[in-house]
Amino acid sequence: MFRNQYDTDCITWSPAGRIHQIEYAMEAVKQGSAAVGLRSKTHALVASIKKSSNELSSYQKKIFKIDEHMGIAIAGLVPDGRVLAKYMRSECLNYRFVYDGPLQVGRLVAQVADKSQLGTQRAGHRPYGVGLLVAGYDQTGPHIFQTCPSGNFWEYHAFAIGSRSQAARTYLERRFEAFEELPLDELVMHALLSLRETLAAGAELTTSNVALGYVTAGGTFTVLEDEAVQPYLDMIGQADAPGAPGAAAQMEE
Amino acid sequence: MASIGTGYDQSTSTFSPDGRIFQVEYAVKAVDTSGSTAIGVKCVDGVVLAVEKSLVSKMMVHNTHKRIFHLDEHIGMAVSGVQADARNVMNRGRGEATQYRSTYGDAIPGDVIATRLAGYMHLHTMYWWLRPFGTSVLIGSYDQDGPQLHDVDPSGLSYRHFAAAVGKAKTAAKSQLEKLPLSTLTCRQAVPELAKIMYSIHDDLKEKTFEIEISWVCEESGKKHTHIPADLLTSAVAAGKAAKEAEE
Amino acid sequence: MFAQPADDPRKNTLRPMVTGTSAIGIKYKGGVMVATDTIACYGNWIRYKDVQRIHAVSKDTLIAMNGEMSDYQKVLQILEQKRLAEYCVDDGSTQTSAELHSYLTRVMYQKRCKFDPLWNMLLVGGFRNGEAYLGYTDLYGTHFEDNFLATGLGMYMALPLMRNQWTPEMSEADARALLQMALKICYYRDTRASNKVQIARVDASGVHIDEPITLQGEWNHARFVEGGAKSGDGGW
Repeated sequence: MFRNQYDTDCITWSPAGRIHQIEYAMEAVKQGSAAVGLRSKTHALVASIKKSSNELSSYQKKIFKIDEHMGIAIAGLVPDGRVLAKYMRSECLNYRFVYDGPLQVGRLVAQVADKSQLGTQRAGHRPYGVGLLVAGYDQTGPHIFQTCPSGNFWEYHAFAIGSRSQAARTYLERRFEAFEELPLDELVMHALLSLRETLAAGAELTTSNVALGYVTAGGTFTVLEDEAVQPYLDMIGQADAPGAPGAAAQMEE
Repeated sequence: MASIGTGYDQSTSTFSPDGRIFQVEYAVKAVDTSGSTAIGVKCVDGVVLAVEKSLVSKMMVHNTHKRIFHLDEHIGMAVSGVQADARNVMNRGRGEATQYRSTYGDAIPGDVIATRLAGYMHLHTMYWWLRPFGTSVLIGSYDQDGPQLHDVDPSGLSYRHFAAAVGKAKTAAKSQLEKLPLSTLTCRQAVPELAKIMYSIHDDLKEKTFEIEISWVCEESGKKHTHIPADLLTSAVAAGKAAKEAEE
Repeated sequence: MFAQPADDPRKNTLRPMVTGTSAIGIKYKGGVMVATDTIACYGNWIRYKDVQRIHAVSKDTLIAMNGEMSDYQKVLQILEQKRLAEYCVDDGSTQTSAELHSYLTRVMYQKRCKFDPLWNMLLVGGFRNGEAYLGYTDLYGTHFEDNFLATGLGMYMALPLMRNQWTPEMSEADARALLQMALKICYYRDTRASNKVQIARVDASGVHIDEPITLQGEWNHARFVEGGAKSGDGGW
């Protein structure tokens, strides 16, 4: 349906000044299950939906701890995400060896973006088919960054990527200004409620299809999975009374 | 562009029968359609650079998505076009500045870094396994010979300017820059003028929210490239908005 | 590459040529202060009489040197390049003194492992968020912190004095007095030390490197005037 003579590699510009291969790689991110990231004054948090390929398989790993002060959620090709996670981990480790301290989150994100750009400009490579949401806490406070296959990156108060993430972004856009002052519990609830917006009709958040990771000042990046998520699922269950923010938007969908 | 689609426009290493390299032209097209404009003026006491950028989301953290970079303490680069490509050029520029310092023990002159980056961008128009950069950049510098302003485009062409504009609205911006009294203008005077130009060339119908970023390297900034002070930016933006409203 | 004869192996620096002597530093209440003299010796000859041996390497970090001057200049170049890289990134964060200290140690250790050390002992002083930092690294890549530190002959001359007199509650004036005393002791006993000294500090307001001052020595001690006891000819 897209087929044209300029779309088979990333070293050919189309007459309109586009590189279709990069755009297709961005499409891979949109196919991946959703991830959200948000921050308060004290915490940065990422959460994501995990898929399993069939009933007998495990759920894919979508949240990766990078260092004590940083973690990522990915959407898109999970193997590509693993490659970038490995790169980020080794950069952080290397920084700790040389400087005996944590690497600034924004500096690492820029490095990842610049690394991604290289794959978009030469023959024999392809762009990464993965987008990252990076949550970290460093000298300049909590951060949420997004990277994408084109080699672009942005810093957000809150954001969502992946399939049907527009619904989560809409949820977040309406509320993010209040996130600054929230305690961790409520931040987690907003993460889960925004994630729920991305689910297909009839699907529900469960302890096996959702994972969270958060970090605070001087704290360790903590991943919450499986039973650890249950208390928060219970909390949003109660918040789910008629007229509650989550319920309405889901009905629209 | 009669040769589009005839097979002569698919590789940087292919000339068309009428002597053109279409891939480079398409890269220039990418700069012009990418939605941002960068302008710069060389004043009597320094150089001022400005970019406009549209905000993709209101959830973005203010002031984090930079389009003006430092290449060295005395050199700034304002970019238009594909942001990721621009960062690649930026990294090369920083590398050149570093290498020049370690070889010659002194800061790299503005014309040298402009020439080297032009060479780097030109290199990407020479081989089939690379593609031209989708970015045009402005380089503002202050060295022993005083302030200088250069541009570099995807073909590897580079010129020194009194005033220059690259990106989406470069034509409109240039015609306005020509009206400025460039032989007497100081950086402080130029700042609100550039803001006014940014507001007047901005297409409100396409993108509603945008912000402008302004930097300078001048005597007032100690011959260092820095973003202009926040209060100066605020008043420049106010001047830009006022001029736009007066126009309408 | 040629195979070199065994009696003529490849050699790197085997001894320093132009050297600065002791550097000393102490923490005090509200800052950190370091001091050196201002000469560089070629052997025992005072070859350069007006050199600066303390430099600011960031907004809140300085280093003071001992050892080979040319290697120190290389160290300064490396740190200047780091400073510029950080200027370019411009993200509102700056590396801490501890990070710069660790980085310097990595550089020193790597060079030493190539049997081509940067022949220096360095003090790193800094102050941020109400915390003073004082660290040491040297040509072997040794790395430690302390409340008061000295390099070179100062380790023998100045450290015992500081060990006796240093307290965490010292004021800036106390610290200055103690450092001047220590410098004077070094000047009396170290043939390659001078009484023209420079004191620098980092406190909440940043790095301050004072203009050099000249310390007055006391040379009218009876035994000095009397001369050597054995020969009685005024020599020792």
